[in-house]
Amino acid sequence: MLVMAISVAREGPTASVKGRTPTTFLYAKGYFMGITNPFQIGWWMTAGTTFIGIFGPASALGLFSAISAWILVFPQVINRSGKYGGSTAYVRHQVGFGLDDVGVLGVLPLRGVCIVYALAVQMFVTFKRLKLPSTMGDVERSILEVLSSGEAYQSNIVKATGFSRSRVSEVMSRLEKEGIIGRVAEGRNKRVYLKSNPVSRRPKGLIRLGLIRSAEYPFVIPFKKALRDMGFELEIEVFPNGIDVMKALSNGQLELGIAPMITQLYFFSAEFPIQILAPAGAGGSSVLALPSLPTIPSPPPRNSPPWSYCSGPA
Amino acid sequence: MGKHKCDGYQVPMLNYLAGLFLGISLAAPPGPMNGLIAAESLASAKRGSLTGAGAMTADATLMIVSLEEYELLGV
Repeated sequence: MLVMAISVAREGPTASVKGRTPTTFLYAKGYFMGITNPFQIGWWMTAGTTFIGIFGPASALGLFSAISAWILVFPQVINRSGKYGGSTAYVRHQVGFGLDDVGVLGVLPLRGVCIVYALAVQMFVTFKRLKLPSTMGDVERSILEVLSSGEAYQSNIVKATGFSRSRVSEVMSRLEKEGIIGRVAEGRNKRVYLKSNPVSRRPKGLIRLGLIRSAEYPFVIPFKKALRDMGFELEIEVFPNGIDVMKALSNGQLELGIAPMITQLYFFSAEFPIQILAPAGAGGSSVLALPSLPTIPSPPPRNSPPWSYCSGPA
Repeated sequence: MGKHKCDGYQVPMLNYLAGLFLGISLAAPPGPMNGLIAAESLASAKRGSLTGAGAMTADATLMIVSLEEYELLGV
């Protein structure tokens, strides 16, 4: 476009069309103008790519067949008639490329058809895009995937799967009716579990503890021994960070979690169904300096504020 | 293109026809490229076709570039 504007400006209205560009450069000129044409770039980045994405390689072949036919036939027609629009092509070229240009060739009605067609293709593509990821099967699969690792709260399933609240709720109602999942109301939230993997099926006395890969929890091994003496089995799961521990805890994948105080307070204040019990490694490395191993702290009374357990080394 | 979920739309002949239709709707409407082709065609049809062939190659380049981009984005 820029090249065209410059050439028009430089050569003026009297310049002849013939011999303006040597024949050998015409292909290069067409290529350069095409690849810098914003309409062509825009079309390919949006409609063209999605169209071929849907209709496959055969449609690309068809598309280029049509363009080949056009670039062979159109120049012949213009050359024979000697006109492009009501005037010679070069004069029209300077004036601009208005719609009336090709009205004579009967392309104007075709342009209307093309616009309607392009809109229809775009709507179809958008519809397919929106429709594809949220078919019932996909929602169902995602829900079951989340539940396969344990129980989860319905609000967390909505967040984890990325589907809308109503859609998840709709699919869950069906799954519940079919007896695949069970739901237990807890306040305004619902705890969801797989019927084939209910909580009661878990080995009795199993406590799952999540913690961060860290040397700050030396009491975990004696804690495991002490619990075993009391008839409980402690299963330890290591997480990359405190947020993941707290997420697993609030999803019902853990009974106990050890995470930084700040993360706990965040989840606690966000009304996740957790109870902060006791400090596990308060004072950081100073715990290692203690002459004897720390003992298991006893759970504090339920109703005292969480920060009352945050005092220094045990 | 394997990532695209287009099962049920893989009837090659129909897809080819859809492509033909789209190609005409892309190539025929008046625009700067057709203006240029027409201008060259007044001298000779061969010049017009050569210019058009260049524009078509540009289309092919843009197609490959944008498809690659979509693959990279994982759309």
